[in-house]
Amino acid sequence: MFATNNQISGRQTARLLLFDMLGYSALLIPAELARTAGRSGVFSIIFGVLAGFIYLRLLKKLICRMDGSYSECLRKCFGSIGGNLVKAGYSIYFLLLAGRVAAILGELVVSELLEKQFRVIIFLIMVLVYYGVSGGIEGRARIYEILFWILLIPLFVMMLFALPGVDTDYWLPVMLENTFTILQGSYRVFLCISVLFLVPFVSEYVKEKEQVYDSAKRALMWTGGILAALYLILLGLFGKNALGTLDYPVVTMMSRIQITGGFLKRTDTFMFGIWFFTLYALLNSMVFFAEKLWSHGKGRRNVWLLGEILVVYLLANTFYYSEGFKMLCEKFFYYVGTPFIVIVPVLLCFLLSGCASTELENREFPTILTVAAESDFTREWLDGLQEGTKKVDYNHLKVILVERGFLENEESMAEMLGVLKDDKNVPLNAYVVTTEKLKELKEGEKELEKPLGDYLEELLEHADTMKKETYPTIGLLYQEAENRMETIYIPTIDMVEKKPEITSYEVYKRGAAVGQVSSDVALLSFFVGNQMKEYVLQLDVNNYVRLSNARNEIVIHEVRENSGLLKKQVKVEIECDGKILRHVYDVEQENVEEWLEAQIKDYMNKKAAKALESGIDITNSFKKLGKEREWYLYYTQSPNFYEQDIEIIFDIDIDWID
Amino acid sequence: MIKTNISKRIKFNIDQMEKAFFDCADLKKKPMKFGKNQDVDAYLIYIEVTVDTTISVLGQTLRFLNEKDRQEILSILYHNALAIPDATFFETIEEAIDGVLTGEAILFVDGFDKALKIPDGGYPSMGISETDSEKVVRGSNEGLCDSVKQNAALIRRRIRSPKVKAKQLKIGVRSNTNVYVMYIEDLAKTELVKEIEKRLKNFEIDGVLDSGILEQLAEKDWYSPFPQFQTTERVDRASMALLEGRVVVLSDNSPVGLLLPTDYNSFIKTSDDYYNRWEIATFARMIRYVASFFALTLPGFYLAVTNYHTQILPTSLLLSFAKARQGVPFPAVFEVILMELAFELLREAGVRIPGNIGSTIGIVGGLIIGQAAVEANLVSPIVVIVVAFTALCSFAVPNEEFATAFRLLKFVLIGLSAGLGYFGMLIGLLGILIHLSHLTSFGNPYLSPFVGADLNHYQDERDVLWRMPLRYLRKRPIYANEKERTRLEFKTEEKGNVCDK
Repeated sequence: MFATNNQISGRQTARLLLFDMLGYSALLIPAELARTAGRSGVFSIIFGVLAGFIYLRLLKKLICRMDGSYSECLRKCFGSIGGNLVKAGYSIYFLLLAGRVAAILGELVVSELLEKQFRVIIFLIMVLVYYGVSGGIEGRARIYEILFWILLIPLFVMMLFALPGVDTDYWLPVMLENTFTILQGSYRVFLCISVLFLVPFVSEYVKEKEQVYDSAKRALMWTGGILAALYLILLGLFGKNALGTLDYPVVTMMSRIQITGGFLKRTDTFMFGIWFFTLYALLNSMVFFAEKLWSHGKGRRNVWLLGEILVVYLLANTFYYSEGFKMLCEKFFYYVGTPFIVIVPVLLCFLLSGCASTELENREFPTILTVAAESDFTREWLDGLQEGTKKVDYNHLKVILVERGFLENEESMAEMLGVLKDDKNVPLNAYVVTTEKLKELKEGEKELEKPLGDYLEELLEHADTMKKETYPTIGLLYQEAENRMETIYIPTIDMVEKKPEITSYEVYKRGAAVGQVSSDVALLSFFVGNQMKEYVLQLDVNNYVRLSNARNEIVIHEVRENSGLLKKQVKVEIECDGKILRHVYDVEQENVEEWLEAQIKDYMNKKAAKALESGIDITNSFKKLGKEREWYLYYTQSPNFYEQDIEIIFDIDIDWID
Repeated sequence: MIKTNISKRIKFNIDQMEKAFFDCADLKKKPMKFGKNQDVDAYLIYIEVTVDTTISVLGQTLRFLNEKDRQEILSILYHNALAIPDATFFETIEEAIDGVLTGEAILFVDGFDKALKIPDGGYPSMGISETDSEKVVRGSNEGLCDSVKQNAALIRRRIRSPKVKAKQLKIGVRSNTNVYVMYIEDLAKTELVKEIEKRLKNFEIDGVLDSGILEQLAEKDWYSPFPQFQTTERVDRASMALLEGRVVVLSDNSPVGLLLPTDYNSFIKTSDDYYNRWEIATFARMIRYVASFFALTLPGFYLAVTNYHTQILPTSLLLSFAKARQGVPFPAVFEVILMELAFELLREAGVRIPGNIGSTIGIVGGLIIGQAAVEANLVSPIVVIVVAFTALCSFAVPNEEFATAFRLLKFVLIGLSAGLGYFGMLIGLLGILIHLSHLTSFGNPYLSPFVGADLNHYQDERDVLWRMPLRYLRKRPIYANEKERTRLEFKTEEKGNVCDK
């Protein structure tokens, strides 16, 4: 079942932040930019948004270092009194901004929709804010997730309808204004999008903190894009001077648009819905986070919330009726409020970098991660991030040991890879191995001289015959989950005489486990792929050869069979050095090498054909399909046919060493 | 509760049963003697119409026992050697009473300390018939009936798997109603089944006469106009729900099954959405979504536009609206409310009036009253069109309970729009949206999969406003157990059939 766990998804976070930024900035920025940066306003938007991205990078660092909620973090870094003072600062900002937004919303309703008492309108809006906030973050996030396209599509349509009226002559000349005014405009833009300061607050509600950054980045890109497009349209419609005189030019624009042949004469009333919902989003966010800063426990929460609603109601009225207060608060936002809310997280980021959130002695460094067949990975992973009082740090993870049942479950594997990929602590070069008897291996660990993770790493890395990058790592699996091009052999580990050994290999074909193969097949595949330093081949009890220094090539081409049908042939051209380790057959001395080459070729052809019958291509030739466009397109769409359609033949050229 | 064991002495058992069922004229209580030598005292009790004593299993059993002597009879009973597959032995008087009330015949035999339940016809019921609501053009119209056992069998006929489970609960202190919680073992989430059982057991009531009572008592947000239990009278719908990993609750004496959990989207879907081709299914689905929106908002919009925001309308249209209203003595809001109430009245009367006259009166009433009202200048023709269109839209919503929520909330929006114009409409819509965003059905957000679709890798979005071709609907919805989400796989992928899994 879904859990009511106060957690929201990345998509919800992005949409929430977008609406928080978009409504307020789209209403205020165009006129302000026209007054300051004029025709160069679009550059101000670009610089402002770039500044937003830089700020976001800093916030990313902060959220990665945060341990617990932002509120707790403030207390930890600034102490109890300092933390409370900063929180009070935040609260003042939140409430003033909420009051300002409510006043703008009310003012718009009065001017555009309903010439009725402002107080009644604000009262109704505040009732809805109370209802909205009481549903918690999940309820709020759901509203904006669902409203996203419902609001943006009409906005884009409206912008499209406005295009014919745009006079591009109004756009030029640019850069007439001096740099200072352009930068001043950028600061205005940055002021509006500085709502990004909510990112550390929101991170508490998102399972993976990295996701918050990505979501905020997406929201900022959308906001920047829409603002720039909107500004150019408005500038082209009204011209710089007229644009500067309008209070809310985007609303005025909507009343100017003529929809020819349409059923509706003017759509500004309907379009007003966009600003209604976006401003409501910001208002709601301010009240929500202001309440979250202080309240604990349900009873007190309602009292706080009601108190806040009352304060915002009063502030909105004051903003509306007192021009002096409004001017004063504008200055406050410009010179004090925004710099404060921007600087606090930056400061916090530096403070937190000085002291690791968890000291070394309080961390646990596992070298192996075991995943049982029936494991609910996400839950176990989250549970396992804390080992008693110690925080688990996977930076030194060496091996991931996945029980075969789990490995063969595609959905579970996708889930595991997703979770591990999002945790930047997990090293990409951790080896992935599998086993059928996880319990036995764990029990056997007691008798090993070193931890199982270290032991397995050594087993995989110190194999004399293998090159270092032969065995699959978690990084390779992430890659394959996306590319789905390769056949990978994951070592199967079993206890042999009380020691873990590789006994066979699990084939992981194009992102899914397809079954086990013997070590012979896997080793041949490694050799074909030039992944072995030397390959010792036992042709039968009396004949052993060692092949080394392989320079093998794989070529795919089409051949016509006797029946006239075309067949894809994968030709493996083996070129290597060879040494006879044992040979006791009665073959004339001068023909031995030729005889052995024929035997080797026969051996390899048989192994490859047998594997192919089980759908395994030991040459891993699928990833080479890119060279043939048509085949690539066909087989990437129908990959299951590939192994059925090919045949593999070996061509061997060995330099025999005495 | 203390239970009384059945005694070997038949007199004791007879006394207990007589005490429990005195003044019950509808029950047959027959002390008798049978056996080869007519020396075995027995007592048979059953509800008269539920049992046939001649050709039924009971009749055959009695005839069979009548040919044996006392020792043989007791031996047969002790060794359960009656060869009746459904015969059950009760050890307590209370169980025997329950057995009688479930419509079975109960036999006590002297010297045997158990009561024997012999199955028979059971209570009479209406039998299986066509569904009245949720009609479809393509697909079976077989409906659920009043018997919970028959309903379970109808579902089992469609899903012949031993993994289909039916947990039996007895709800209602006096009615002892049989309630089945049906699910597919590996598809339904265990915690969901447990939660449903917990909610159903969480109350004590004297009688459950319909599944509607269960629904209301087990609902978390009881004040919401939106139902959090989906109802269905269709067997295929219930079966489909099971295959989606949902749980079906069936109550005896009710032809309406409850499907859990549910969401907004499920109420808009119909069974034939999956039987028809995807293009037509998608088209119909979109029409239903639009209809549900208009069923809620159209009268409100009309009032907001004509009273406050006339700039929206082209001049010619506005003038024709104004002309149509000339001579109407009431304000527009009163006019709309009057017509809406008149329509609701017709609807209610249509349902209550017996037989075919019901639907006739709906049409005739609508035409005559509408026409007369326009001609008498009581309402303008535009309002008649608006109300009729709204009514049509509300009928396009497939689920009656869900459509009712729109019908009720429509009046709230009419009030808000009349007082505050488009702002009132926005306030109302936002309020409804906030309410829906808070609402859950057994933990499942009501607005899913419009929200939280990422939890099922956006698979559920393939079956929302549009219904993608069936070959692309390879995963079960979010309700299903995470490990059993795949529901369709092709054995061989043809070129062009590939979709991301």
